Amino acid sequence: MKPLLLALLPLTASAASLSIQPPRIVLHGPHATQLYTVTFTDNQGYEHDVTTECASPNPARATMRAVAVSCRGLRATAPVIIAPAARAPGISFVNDVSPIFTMSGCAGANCHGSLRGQRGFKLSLFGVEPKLDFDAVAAQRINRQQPEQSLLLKKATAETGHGGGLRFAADSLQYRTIRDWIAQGAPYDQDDSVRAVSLRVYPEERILLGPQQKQQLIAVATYSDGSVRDVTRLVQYSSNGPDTAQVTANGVVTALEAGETAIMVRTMGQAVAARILVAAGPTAADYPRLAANNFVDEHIFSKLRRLNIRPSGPATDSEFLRRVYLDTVGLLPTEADTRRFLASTAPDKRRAEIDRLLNRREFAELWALKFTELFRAGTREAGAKGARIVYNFIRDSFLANKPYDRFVREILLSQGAHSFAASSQDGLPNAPTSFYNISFDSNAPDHATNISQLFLGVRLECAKCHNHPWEKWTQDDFYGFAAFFARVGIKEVYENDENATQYMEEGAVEHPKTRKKMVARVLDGKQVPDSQDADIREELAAWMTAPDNPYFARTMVNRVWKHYFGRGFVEEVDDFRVTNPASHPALLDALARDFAAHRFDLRHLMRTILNSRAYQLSAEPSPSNRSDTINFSRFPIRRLLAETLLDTMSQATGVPEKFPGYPPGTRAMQVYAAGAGGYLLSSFGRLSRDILCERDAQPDIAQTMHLISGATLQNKITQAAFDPALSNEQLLEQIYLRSLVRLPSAAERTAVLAMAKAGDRRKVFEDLLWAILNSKEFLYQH
Amino acid sequence: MIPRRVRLLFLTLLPLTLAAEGKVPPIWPQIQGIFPRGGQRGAAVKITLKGRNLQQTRELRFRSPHLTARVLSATPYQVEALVTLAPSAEPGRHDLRLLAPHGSAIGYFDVGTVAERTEKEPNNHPAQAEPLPFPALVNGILTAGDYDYFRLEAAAGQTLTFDVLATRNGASTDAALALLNEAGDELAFSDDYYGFKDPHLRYTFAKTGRYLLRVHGSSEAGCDTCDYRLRAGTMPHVETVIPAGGQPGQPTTITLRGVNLRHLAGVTLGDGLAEGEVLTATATEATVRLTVPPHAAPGVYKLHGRDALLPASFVVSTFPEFAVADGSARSRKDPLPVTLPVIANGILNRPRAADHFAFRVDGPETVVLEAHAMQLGYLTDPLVALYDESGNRLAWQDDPTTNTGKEPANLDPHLVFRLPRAGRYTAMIRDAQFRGDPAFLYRLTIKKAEPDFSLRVVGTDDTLYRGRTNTILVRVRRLEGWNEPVEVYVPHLPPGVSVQPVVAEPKNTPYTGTCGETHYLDGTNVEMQITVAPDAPPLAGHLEFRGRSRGVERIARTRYFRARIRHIGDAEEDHLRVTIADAPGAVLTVPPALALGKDHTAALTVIVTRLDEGRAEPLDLAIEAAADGLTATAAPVPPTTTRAELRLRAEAKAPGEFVVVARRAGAVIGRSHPIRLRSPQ
Repeated sequence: MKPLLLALLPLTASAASLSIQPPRIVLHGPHATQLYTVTFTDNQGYEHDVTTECASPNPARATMRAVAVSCRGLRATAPVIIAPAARAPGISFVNDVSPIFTMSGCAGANCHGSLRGQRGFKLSLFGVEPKLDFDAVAAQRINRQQPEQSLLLKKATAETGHGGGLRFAADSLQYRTIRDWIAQGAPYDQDDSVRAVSLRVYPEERILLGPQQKQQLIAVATYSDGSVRDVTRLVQYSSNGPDTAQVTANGVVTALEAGETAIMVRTMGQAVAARILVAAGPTAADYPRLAANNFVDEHIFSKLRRLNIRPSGPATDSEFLRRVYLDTVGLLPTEADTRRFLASTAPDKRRAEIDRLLNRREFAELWALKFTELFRAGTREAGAKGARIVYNFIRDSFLANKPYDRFVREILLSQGAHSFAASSQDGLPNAPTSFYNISFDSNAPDHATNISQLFLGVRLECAKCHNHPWEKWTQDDFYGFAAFFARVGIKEVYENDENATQYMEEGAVEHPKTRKKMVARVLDGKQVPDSQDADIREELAAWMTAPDNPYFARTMVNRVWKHYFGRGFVEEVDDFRVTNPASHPALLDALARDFAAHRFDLRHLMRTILNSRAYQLSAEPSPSNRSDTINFSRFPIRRLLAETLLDTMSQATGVPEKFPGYPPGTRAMQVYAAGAGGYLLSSFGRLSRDILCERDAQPDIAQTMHLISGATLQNKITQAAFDPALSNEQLLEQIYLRSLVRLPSAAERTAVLAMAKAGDRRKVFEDLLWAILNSKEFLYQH
Repeated sequence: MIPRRVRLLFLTLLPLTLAAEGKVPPIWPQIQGIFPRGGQRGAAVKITLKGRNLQQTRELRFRSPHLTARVLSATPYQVEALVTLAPSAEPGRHDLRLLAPHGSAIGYFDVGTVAERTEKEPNNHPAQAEPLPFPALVNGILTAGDYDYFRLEAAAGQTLTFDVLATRNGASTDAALALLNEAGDELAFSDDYYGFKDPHLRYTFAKTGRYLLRVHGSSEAGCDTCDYRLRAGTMPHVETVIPAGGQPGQPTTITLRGVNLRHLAGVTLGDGLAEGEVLTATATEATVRLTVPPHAAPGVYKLHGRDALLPASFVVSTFPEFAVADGSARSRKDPLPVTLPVIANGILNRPRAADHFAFRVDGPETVVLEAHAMQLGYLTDPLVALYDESGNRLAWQDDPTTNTGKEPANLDPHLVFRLPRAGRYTAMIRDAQFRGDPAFLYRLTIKKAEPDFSLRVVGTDDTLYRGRTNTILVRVRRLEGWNEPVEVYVPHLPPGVSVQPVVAEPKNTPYTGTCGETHYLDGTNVEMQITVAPDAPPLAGHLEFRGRSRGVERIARTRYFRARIRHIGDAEEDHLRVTIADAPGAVLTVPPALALGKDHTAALTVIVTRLDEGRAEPLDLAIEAAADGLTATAAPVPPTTTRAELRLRAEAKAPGEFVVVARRAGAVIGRSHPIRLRSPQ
């Protein structure tokens, strides 16, 4: 197996080598075969698929004791191990026929795998329910006396009219397999419990040096009886980024343009992915040496180097200061703060500024709002009061730098009245008790869906209705996870329309198909039987927040990274799956390990990221990185958060916003309730919290029009007070420093001062404010 | 049948009092606001009651002899009165009954112990904050969007308590409270403090300095009658009392826990029922020796710490009581042995705490596990369970009735269970949400069942109309296994009033929920039809409802229900107060004011409810008592029409107020409230 730490490999000259994949070939029975690939590693460490040049014969057969390849003056071998035949002779519907439906696209969501099937023929999505597929096929679509006359084959070969067209040819392996299965009586497997339990693809990651470079993929399935099998020709391949690389039905990948993508490989309810990176060429000889501030940079720069992408230069002090304020506290620095920072010559002034900001109350408020939105606080009965309690809980947790594992544990185990907020000194649990009510509907499957997505980055929802098509999760997994919340209920209490979350005395989750009462089970892990006197969510919380949990730390790291860079290692941030690999898996893992090792200290995590050179790169693209969107070779430009935009407008004009229902002086970042804050916030992406989702960061025309002519900005500008004691030049500098965190350029200075001298001073500076607040420099994080 | 000796807590009833024929619109007095809603004992305070149908109010009456009131003026919308509070008046909430010829109504009035003042607007910004010297009691009004700021000084280590009394005192104010530092950062915040909507804060200051206190409506809600009483200071504040009960004639040593208790000078039980002597006192704990007088009736009393912020609940009962030593009953395997009947007073002082008590029965026996916590104002939401000797759970109960939208919740369990055989059993109590805190107090009564029943009348006041049949709901609740019909009747009927007994079958009354599901009330509702003869003499008195079954007789108590604040509780007077009055032939519902400028016209909408059933003549609407220059035109109102419109024209500026009258065949059969004319904005 090729390690996923590829991006970290030192790019030093080394001896070329040759290797075979799979490195160990296992054949079950005398008729089994295994395709293999031959990889040539050059002296820069780049790997090249030389299979067609070097491999013959291919595939490996049971007559061979080993595969030996000599090529380019090098030699490689892989042992061939002959194992007993795994199953009874004959063609298996489950493991031979059903996969054909997936690889041929018949069982896809747009075809017979759709909810209602197509023209009366319904298959399970991606073959996750082979018995259902067998029943559908065997009912009307096969002819046991004349297999070639089977409707199934005539449709697939387009011999008769078929909306899906030709799926495979009459001389193909797929055709022969189905025909022979029908000829042997079209039986269903006597033991259909022998199923594929895992799938592996070779190579798991590969850099292709330039367009038209090719790479053969090899797929090997492992079955529940322990046997393995070459399924390279039985799987479905698809490219997540067809502009970057394409893949054929036989698994041959062709690079198209520089970038990165995943090739999804799936069959029999299993799915994996191969990461394909397409570089413009090998690392140039004059590639600069890049200094790293910390391990974040080591990972980022190492990958850039291998992809021969040169990062942008460092951000200026002014750019850095504006950026770190907006990202950390959602505000612009004051004029005095800017002057102080720009004037400082201290070598560690950026580090010191980061530390200062991470200790500010506004830092906690920014994250309180983000999580309040993720928790969908304030929806349903808990309303604004419940939202406030959730917001305060999160804010206070961030102020106290509460470890993230403890924070999540308290949320998961929360119980109590929704509108009751204990004083911070009461000693009572001041938990967001409405989490289970305002975030979700009050039932266990919804809790399972949302909690797995929020805290584990796993979207289990598909498995609610059927086994997950792109992941390993089954309905048993889903309802086992949901069983942790079987006893979580909402009761209406007190005299004042209060509600409370309570871990009830009784409750159960049933499997919707088997009607079996589910035993709680953590993902990929142990069962936790219900117990009369215990809250089994405690077991769940312990598993979730364990330092070695494979999902927990990585999900939060990814979320935090996205906050600062506008893009997660995994996108969407809550969609971790093998078929959606991370752009920087090693860095993600390293940050997650570091996060856990520092007791889930969020400030430590953020400090690490903010102090990296990667975060402090300029947003200005270079010819080398202009097309790069995922490798963090420059600071990604993105629109400001809606609340940040409104608050900074208030800062720049000196005119605060008044939010209905909130005391004067409240900033947008402190507006906790759902649907509150006015038109500007909603048009710039503030969520209604009806469903669990991330904000849309895309600009649109409504936003532009509102900024150009909407009341929000107009009112602020017309109410802005321009200090009459300041000269035109002083006022100009003040406006630039307050809104753009920089002094005006010479050209800007000359133009504005000339206009101010010639015309109405107030009108000129109003116009200047309008122009600045509508500029991309103001509206975007950069 | 052994009568129940203690029945502290009760059934809940709906606030429905209906007229049998066409429903009479609310023409009886309604109190919407009282300001100030309290006063310092030993002082006299002028108060203003606002509401509707308050005209001809002739008397304001307290049950306590230490409180008296004199009506100074009365209009349909407002009554002014002078309340005199004797120095001996019991602190806390008192029922204040307003009496008028057409009905009566109850409001609440709070007796305080410190000097009071009224907030002074403008105080809407920190720069306008009023000083708040301690001890403070400030009466205020929160209009919509209103913020009241107060400034205070505190020393490092000082603990202050802040309490806003509003919904607990009958106000419709949903207040919130925030403590801010000088920079405006929020140090503490409270909106709903547990089972009520009033905020409450306790705060120990880390730094000496100036601070701000902000009182405001939750989400800026407010109204002209949304009053509050802010109490703040370093006064003693008792949070828990353990044991929270005692037996008549028995001296008992009780432990009070809270803040600023070091200077607690003494305690008083109820309205001077007994005085307690402070034995020891620290900042957070005091021990007090108290003897409940032998003549004290069982029930819930208030225990007043001298000059304390708020009273605490204390129960007088006839069962043996004991305080559970901290942690002594935590083991299921080694429960604390008790002998029935008994009342255990304990504290669930940490999360997941549960207390266990072992008892024996000599044969098959029905036992009761009854918890009191939330109904006494404590924070615990108790859950009880019963286990056999092998540790098998036999039964459990959380909430006898949750808030289903039909009636408020009762979250204190009352588990009745038949034990099949002699043996040793274990009773367990814990917080339903596994919470715990030194303030999580409970009282758990474990005893053999005593089947009984109780009756409640919903509402405290009613107006019965001559010549009509009026319906009053009575809830019969069967307790601890009572399974017999109960006949409900009214003895001692006044002249001209008749009512037939009604039998409540032993079956809870069902009702349909919002999703079509079936729920059951906690008891059986019976509708008592009260018929008043056309010539019945005037009455301003009481009706007593009783229930009898198998030789047992019980008297119904009245409960108020404040729909606007969903507040329910026992009235101070046991019996329903009734007024016999004539219903008008027509009720005219009009707005209190109308905008109309000089030489302009305006439309006035009048909602007409005809109570002169069977009369087919149309009504004529006209205006009366109008100043010169106001004229009205209207078409006749047919008998089936309920909405009419008057066109008004003013020929003079600000012509004052007027009344709309309804005439049938020339005779006035209905009259509206006065309508104030105001200039258009």
